[in-house]
Amino acid sequence: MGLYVQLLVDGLFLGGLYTLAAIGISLSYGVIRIINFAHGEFVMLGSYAAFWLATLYKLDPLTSLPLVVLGGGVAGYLLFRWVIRHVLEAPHLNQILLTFGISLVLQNLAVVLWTGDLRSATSVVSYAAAELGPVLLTFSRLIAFVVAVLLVVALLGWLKWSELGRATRAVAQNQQAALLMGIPIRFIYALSFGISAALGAAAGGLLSFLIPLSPWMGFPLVVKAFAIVALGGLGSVMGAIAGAMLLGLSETAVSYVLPGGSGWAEGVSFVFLLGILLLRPRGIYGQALEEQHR
Amino acid sequence: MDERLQLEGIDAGYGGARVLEGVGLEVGVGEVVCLLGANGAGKTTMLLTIAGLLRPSAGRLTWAGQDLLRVPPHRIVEQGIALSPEGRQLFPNLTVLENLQLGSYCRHARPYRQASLGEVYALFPRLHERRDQAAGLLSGGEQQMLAIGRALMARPRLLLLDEPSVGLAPRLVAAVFESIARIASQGIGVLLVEQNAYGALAIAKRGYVLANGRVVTAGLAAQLEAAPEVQAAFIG
Repeated sequence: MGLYVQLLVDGLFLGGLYTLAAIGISLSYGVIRIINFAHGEFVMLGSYAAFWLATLYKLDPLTSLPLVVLGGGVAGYLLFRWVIRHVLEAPHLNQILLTFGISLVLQNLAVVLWTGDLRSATSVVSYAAAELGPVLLTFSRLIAFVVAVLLVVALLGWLKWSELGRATRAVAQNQQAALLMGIPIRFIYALSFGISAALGAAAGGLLSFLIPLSPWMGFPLVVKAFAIVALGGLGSVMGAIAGAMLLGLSETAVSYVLPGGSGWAEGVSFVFLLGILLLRPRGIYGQALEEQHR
Repeated sequence: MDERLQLEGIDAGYGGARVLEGVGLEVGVGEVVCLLGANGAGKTTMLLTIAGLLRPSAGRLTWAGQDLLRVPPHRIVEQGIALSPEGRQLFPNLTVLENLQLGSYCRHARPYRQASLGEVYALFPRLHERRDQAAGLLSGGEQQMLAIGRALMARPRLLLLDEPSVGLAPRLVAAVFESIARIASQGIGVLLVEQNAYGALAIAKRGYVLANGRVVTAGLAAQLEAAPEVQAAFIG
């Protein structure tokens, strides 16, 4: 019994982080229709930013998180204005190649600047844990989960209630009609891309004290993120949450139940990706944003 | 300032295909002007050109004496011209209220949002009843009311309506035309594109008939009703 509760808690915590890592991909695809293969590098750069702020300025990764998020947002906004903007009308293949190229450039830039050594940051919460009945709560994972949930809720609230959030949803559903409302679409694009990058950087900041950092850490994450958004339906934010929770729980279950499970857990996302592409290519929620898009 | 829309010698089209050739047209304050013509005559192209979604290759397009040719579409709304497009183009997953709120996104309309909402709900009480429904779940007539209401939320001085009666039951068509007449009576100019020529001419002051991208007849609504070009465009 205790094992199952522990599994549920661990799966939930992992799912929360995955949600944060994947939701940016969902947002930028839902609004701009760009599949951003460089999203994992936003996560990686967020991690390194948190690591260096901790190493050089003794800032706890939790304290520096607002800075990391802000930096990620500004970087994403500028990247869109300077680079991505030019391929908006281009064929999908060009867009994919561009973001994939950006991903390679950023990875190798990180190797050049910081070498390929594994690094990790520590937070005040890193070594704290509490036993709650049969369940062991690792504080670092708990705090990361809570922060991830807060950020995702903030995004959903912004989309739902703010003037710009409403305009963003309008652009996702019908660009031409949004233009007729007087909504400056290019600005909404850049803003969405910035927010998407900020969320990726936030995931990176939280991961900095949970997993070892390397210039290549973004790639496996982005594969998982794609499995998640494919599972939930590309472009659907609610679908991304459902997909992330499902992946978090499944990976945790596999690593608990199978012998040598933590190795197998890394493969779960591929099984999902393959399964969903074969059985239900539109995802669980599917088409929520896509259907009316032109 | 005389708020008058003037088009002169407009050529426009898509890619290489020219749809409009040397088209001229005028709409003044508070008058309903209808634009008639068969399918493919260029009526929608004309509205898209005025709204800035399509760039004409030649001609003059002015609003209140100002050149509109190089103004991007989102700025044209701010100048007081709102389009209720063909096929309504609502935001289907957003609620009726959210659709209306988006209608007043532009800077000059936003401060008056509550007042505009009151006016639109007064014109279409049905929208008030259904304000929390997703727009995609509305009936055809309600969607049309929402499309017109959303355009009105921008507090336009000129309203462009693309086939507001299409696909509606006859009883609803009459209601929609009646509300258009009420909108114009508040001093808003209306350029009305319609398949339903006689319904449109009944509320319009003047009209233009397009055929193959050219204006073939223009005149007072009463004269147009009997004009052979109108008969030809719709019966022939």
